[in-house]
Amino acid sequence: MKNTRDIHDLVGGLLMTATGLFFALYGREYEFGTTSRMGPGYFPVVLGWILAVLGVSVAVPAWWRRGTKVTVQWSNLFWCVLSLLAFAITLRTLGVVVASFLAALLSLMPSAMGLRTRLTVCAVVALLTTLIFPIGLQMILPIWPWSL
Amino acid sequence: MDLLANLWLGLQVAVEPTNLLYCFFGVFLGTVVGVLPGIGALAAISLLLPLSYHMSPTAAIIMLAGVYYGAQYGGSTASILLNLPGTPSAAVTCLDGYPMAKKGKAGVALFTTTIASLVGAMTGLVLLTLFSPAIAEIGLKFGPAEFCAMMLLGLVAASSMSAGSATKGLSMMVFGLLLGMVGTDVNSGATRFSFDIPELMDGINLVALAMGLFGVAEVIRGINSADTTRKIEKISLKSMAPSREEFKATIKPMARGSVLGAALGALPGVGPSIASFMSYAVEKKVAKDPSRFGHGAIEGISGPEAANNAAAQTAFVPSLSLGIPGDAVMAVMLGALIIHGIQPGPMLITEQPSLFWGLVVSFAIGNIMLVILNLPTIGMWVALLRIPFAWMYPAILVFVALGVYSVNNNTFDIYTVSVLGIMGYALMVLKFEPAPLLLGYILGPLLEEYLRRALLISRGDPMVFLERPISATLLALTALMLLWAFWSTVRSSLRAKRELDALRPQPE
Repeated sequence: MKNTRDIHDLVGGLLMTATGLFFALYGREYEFGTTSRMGPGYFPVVLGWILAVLGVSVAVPAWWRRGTKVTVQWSNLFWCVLSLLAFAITLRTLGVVVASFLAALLSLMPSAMGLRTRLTVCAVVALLTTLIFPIGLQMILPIWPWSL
Repeated sequence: MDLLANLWLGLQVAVEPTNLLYCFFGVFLGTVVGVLPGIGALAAISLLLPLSYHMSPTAAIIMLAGVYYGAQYGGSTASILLNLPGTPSAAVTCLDGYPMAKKGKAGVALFTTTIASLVGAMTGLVLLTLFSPAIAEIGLKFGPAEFCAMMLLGLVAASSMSAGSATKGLSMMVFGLLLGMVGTDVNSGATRFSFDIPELMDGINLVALAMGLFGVAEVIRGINSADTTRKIEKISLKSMAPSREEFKATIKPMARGSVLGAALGALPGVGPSIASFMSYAVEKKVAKDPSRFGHGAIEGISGPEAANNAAAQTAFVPSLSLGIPGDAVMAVMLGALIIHGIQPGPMLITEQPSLFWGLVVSFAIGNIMLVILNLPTIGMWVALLRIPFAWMYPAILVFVALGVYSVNNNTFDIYTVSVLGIMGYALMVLKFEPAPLLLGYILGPLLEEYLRRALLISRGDPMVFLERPISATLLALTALMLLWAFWSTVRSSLRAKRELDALRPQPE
């Protein structure tokens, strides 16, 4: 086996440091104040620096540690996020039924499933969603594309 | 006889038909998500959060709490039948539960865990009833300095004792505190980190954050896992009856587990998972023949199951009596109360007696419902385990999207949940624990507020935290925990480096 470093902690720690620095530096826009009268910038700046230090302390030891490869399920991530986005875009324009059917169909892309089961699952999702939210909970939502 | 009067009041609240219904719905859903590996109580609670906005605060908290302790019951089912923990706290139950199932004793194991769960939960409940009002009384004397110290202790305990490395937990917690800063600052009115997006002026939506971190991220990870064919035998009621010796063997571990779990659960940062691990370790220590553990020892399931349920009940002690949540689930529940305009804190029990006592009595009712749900209808839960995850997750995603939309009737929140879902998945891939982040996010604004007040009163003199005995003790404990976390990180890093050095001299 190849000698990989603990990439998880290395990347994660550096990301935390970057986030901390961002909050600390961006927080300088706000008034810092004094310890007895803290301004809106006090807490974020102090915490930002703490996070930056913590990130370094996660990343540095990881350099001397063996680890496993990072595995990302890119296609799952892509299709799930796409499904959420599609739902957000179509909800107001095409109604609950179409939006939830479409979102379910998109989210099912990465899973191995026969076409018929796939469509059945989507139809059930659309039915359940419509029954629970606009009908059961009386949320004000367009149900069909033409019921706007 | 105050207690009796209070319990009577609680009973009246808890048996109101709507509250009973929501209690049942909560424990039912809790069992469902507990049984199913991959979906946790936090995901379910965050899914229900938008729904709870439309209920009375009492009904909402009864339902959300039901999901939490219901999941503790359901968690052991998948552990025993599939060797996959349904909830993190049921991981220990796999060790001896699955070997029992392989020996054909799945029924006995399921029966034992259910009874142990009930005993544990009831023990925890007694402790909760007796101690919460007393602790709240102490809490009334707290000033801003004590609250600050208590919150710090809770945050540090929850993040440094979580699974994985302490520094990673701590950095997640600080990241959460920072995310809590987004939005309008109550003191100065300045909007922070909103980047001129009007929706961010109110801060990051709690529902979106919880669903992104737990709902969406768990779906993304779970899609291709555990789709292998699951062979599960049918469980009959008859097969559940334990023999006389088996029953005898479970009594003592159950009692020990209940007491241990109840005591540990009330401490900040020690959740049901740690309680069940400790109980398993204790049972192994006191057993006459420790070699049986791991091969289907009934003590190895009854002790930990009692412990995690007891801990799940006493976890409510700091949340309800002081308003300081010990873990992320409690934090979300307190978040739900805040949304309803109820400020959690030491005044809660006296100001909202019907809410507190109603909740306590609903715990008792809910636990009895759970036993009924889990014993005769066990076949239904076993059948649930046969459903592939792919049939369920599209619905989860759509419910997440609509649920988060319903909070403000704004599609912006769906975009937020997508972004936070990506973040949650990234954290999961990098093996960062998201729970301390959520806890930090909810406590962030509170911590800042109390810190400001404490230092305003003392005119900027930080000695105020050390001059007051309670806050000094709490801070000393926090410092000890930090030192321990630092020390264990250094030690394990040095060990890892030596291992790596030992490998290096080998020529290519």
